[in-house]
Amino acid sequence: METFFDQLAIGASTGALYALLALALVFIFRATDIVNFAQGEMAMFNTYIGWSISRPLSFSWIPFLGIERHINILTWRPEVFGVPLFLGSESDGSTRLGYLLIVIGTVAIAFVMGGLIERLIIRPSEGKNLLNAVIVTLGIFAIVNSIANWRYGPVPQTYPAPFKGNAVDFGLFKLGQHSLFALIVGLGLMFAIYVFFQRTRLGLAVRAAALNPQASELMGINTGRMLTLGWSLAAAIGCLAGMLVAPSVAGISPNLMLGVLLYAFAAAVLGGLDSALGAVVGGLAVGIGQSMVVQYIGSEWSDIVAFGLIIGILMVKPTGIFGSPVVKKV
Amino acid sequence: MTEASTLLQVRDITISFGGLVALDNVSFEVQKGHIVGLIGPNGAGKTTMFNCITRLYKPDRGSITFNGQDMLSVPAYGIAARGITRTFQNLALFPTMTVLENVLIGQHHLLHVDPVSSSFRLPHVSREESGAREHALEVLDYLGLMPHKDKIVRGLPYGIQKRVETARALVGRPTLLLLDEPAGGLNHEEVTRLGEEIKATRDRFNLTILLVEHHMSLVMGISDRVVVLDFGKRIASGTPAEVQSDPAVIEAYLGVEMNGGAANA
Repeated sequence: METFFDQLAIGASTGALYALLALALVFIFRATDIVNFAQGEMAMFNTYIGWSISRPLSFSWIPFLGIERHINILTWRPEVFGVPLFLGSESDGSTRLGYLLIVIGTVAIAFVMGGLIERLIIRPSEGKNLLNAVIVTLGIFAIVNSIANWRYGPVPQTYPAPFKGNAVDFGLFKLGQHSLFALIVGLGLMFAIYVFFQRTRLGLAVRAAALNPQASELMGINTGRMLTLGWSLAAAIGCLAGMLVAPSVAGISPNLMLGVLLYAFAAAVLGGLDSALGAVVGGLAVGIGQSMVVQYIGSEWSDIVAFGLIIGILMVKPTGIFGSPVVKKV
Repeated sequence: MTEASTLLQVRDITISFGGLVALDNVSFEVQKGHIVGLIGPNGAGKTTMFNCITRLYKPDRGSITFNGQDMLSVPAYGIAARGITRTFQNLALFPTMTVLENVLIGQHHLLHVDPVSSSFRLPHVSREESGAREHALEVLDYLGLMPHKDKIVRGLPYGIQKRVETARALVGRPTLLLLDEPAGGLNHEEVTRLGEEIKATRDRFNLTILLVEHHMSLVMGISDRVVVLDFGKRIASGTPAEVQSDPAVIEAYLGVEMNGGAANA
């Protein structure tokens, strides 16, 4: 029985990450009707950027030599992530500060990159043929994956995690510190996303622009800007998911998000591609389900069950659990 | 009819869609404080004119001047801030949102949101948002929508949804309100009441109203001026009485609807 609850907890933690990526897919689908196949690879690439800035930096290219000395005095970066196992369990202030700065920097870069992809690549292909835009996202998928392979190589690299100590014992179940961290961050992010969309004017405007662009324009909403913001947010959320995934697998590699993206798709389809609540419920369900299948049936069944699920849902209830029926706008 | 009191000036507007000329050299003016009816048989180009004024369409030729400003250089999302809001013939509400949320979006252009302070809910944002909320509630109350304010729009009866759209247009503090078939789907008694409501709303909110409507008795009963379109051309304009006795108008309508309208007016 203990194993069951252990699997439940670890499944929920993985599921929270699936849910985050599924949410990113849902945002873009709701705003543009595009299924963004590049979501996972965008996250992977941004996660690599996080990895780059977490390494001990070489400042030889910086003309201001004084800065290097200055960074060395701070010591927060190379010291901490050179030996994350050692410092992680102590969880002292400097460890988390370093990680936090990396997260903020990486998410900011992801935010800008998501917006740029929408402006420069997606927008010109929009409004003509939905299939064009979807194929464009497949193209981004392949290109980003190749660039990562060329730039960083196929070998997995260790990824920094703030907490890597012993599993925490909750009595009923035990959960590894990183999984616990991922679960807490994932749920926290979902709550923040909920507040943004339900309780802020900007969130309301983004939702309006997705529902009815023409009417939104006449309320003074710059819908073009809202689309860019939607892609930026999706990229940032995907990137956070990637940063949480990397330490819990072998490390970061160009194929980091391949499996995660496919499970996030299963989650989004299960919950309904146009439902944020569906993405969350679907993500947790797929994560827990996968964990149970691996434990009680066998790991080789994990993909079969997940994709059997996608196909089954698309046949029986194409709108998913929480999706709304397709109404064609005239 | 002095220049100073002209609020909207539409001059020589021409627009065609793939060879079909939807509006052909249409000109008219709307005086401040007036209710102006824009009528014509189906396909005459009335809604197309609304779409040109609100910049959803870009006319091929002509000019639209509002408050002395060239409207054709303003993007669609800048129209509300200049003082023009509208309703839609086939309702363009946000169906999965509540009535209050729909109405709050109607004053988006009045708020100075920047992404960062909105996300972090800084004090001045909260203050602005609570002010917006109050104004939205006032308008909802005026239109008798308070009992519905927290309901999801999608499930509401058509008549209520039309009112929500009016509320969403009013809450943006427009100077010119464009109403596209407000009487659509209403019964005879409701139409009579609607006429009074439109006039009362104009007076209360200091509005100028441009009205597209098929319901002749309503248009003739409340309009100060009427502009008649037929196949994209302006065939008449003047006071309701002038327009009703215009032979070109009677011909366009085959006499039927105009007679009914005249009897009511």
